[in-house]
Amino acid sequence: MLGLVPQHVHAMQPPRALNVPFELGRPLGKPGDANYQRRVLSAALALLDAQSGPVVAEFDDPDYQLASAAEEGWACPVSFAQTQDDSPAGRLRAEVDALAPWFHRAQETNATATGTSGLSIDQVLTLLLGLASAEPWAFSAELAEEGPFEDVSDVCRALSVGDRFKLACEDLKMFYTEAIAAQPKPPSPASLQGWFWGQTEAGALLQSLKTALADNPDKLLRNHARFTIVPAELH
Amino acid sequence: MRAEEVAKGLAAMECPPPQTHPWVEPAQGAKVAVVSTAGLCHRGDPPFSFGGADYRVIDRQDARDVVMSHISTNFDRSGFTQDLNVVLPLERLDELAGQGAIGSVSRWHYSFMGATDPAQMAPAVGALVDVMMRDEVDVVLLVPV
Repeated sequence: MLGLVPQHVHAMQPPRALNVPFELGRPLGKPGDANYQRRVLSAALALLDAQSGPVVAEFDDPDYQLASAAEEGWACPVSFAQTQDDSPAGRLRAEVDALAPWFHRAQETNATATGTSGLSIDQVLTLLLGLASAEPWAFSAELAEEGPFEDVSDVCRALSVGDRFKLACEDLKMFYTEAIAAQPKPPSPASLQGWFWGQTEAGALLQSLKTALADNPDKLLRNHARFTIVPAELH
Repeated sequence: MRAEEVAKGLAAMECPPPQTHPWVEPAQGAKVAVVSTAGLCHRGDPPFSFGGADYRVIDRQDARDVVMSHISTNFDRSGFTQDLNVVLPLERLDELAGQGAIGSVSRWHYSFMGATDPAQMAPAVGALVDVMMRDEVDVVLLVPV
């Protein structure tokens, strides 16, 4: 196995394990670098040559750490223009419009990971803004019934309100992530996280939903808003 | 709860005693399958939710539509959006098979969602072991996220 958290590997003692120094979410290290990924895999598979175990080895690459640190100076990739509608909803829709060309570029070059909710990005915005409105209870109840959307996929129709909400949040985050990752020299994960949660209207909206949905009668919706939308370090 | 506290709690979980002499297969002739904990599935499959203890099947011949529905928000997804191989290295395994470094790559690969209590996943894991044995898989590469 590959190990991203050494203390977990130490506790599990799997037959063969290669601890890697990469960020959570990147067990093979470098996206788009086939040679590097093969190096990681080859190092892991070489552990099978040992005649007994458990074997725990380290994939040391000081250059990787330096490469990550060097990206920390990455600046905000998008200067969102002032909009006529300066409400949070207006600014959010303007952000999505500004990122759309890069998102479409990402779709042309990579398979998109958005759309797990079965909703379009416009429907995602409608759903999340509805839940952030002054009457989130009424909106979530509407979602549980026929819902505000006439045209949704079978995937979406089969989801509970709580799961539809969670996946809509992930679709929004993934839209921003894919758009930025499609730009030249995409930032490090830490920089991207800092930008999304600290500088975008989308990040502010998702953080506001934790409070907006704190008393919602739908338990799964409430728990997702509390635990699975915003990174733990921002709680 | 902070990520460090979650990690500390997981590290303190009781684990089965390790086997000191596990059966292993030399990589050169082995058929390899990947088991990920990234909450991956094909678009249109039921996504994972809270407490999801089952798994999804990833078809190597149709891996371009793989999406992620892990409930955790505490790991990077930007690498995955750029290159599926950074999470599920199927193309890399194909290349290693082409070079003779491994025997072959299974058509079938699997994903759990690592946020669930491992004890709850045990029944599905047991069933999956049977499936992989019937598929004559020699080596399972576990890839966390």
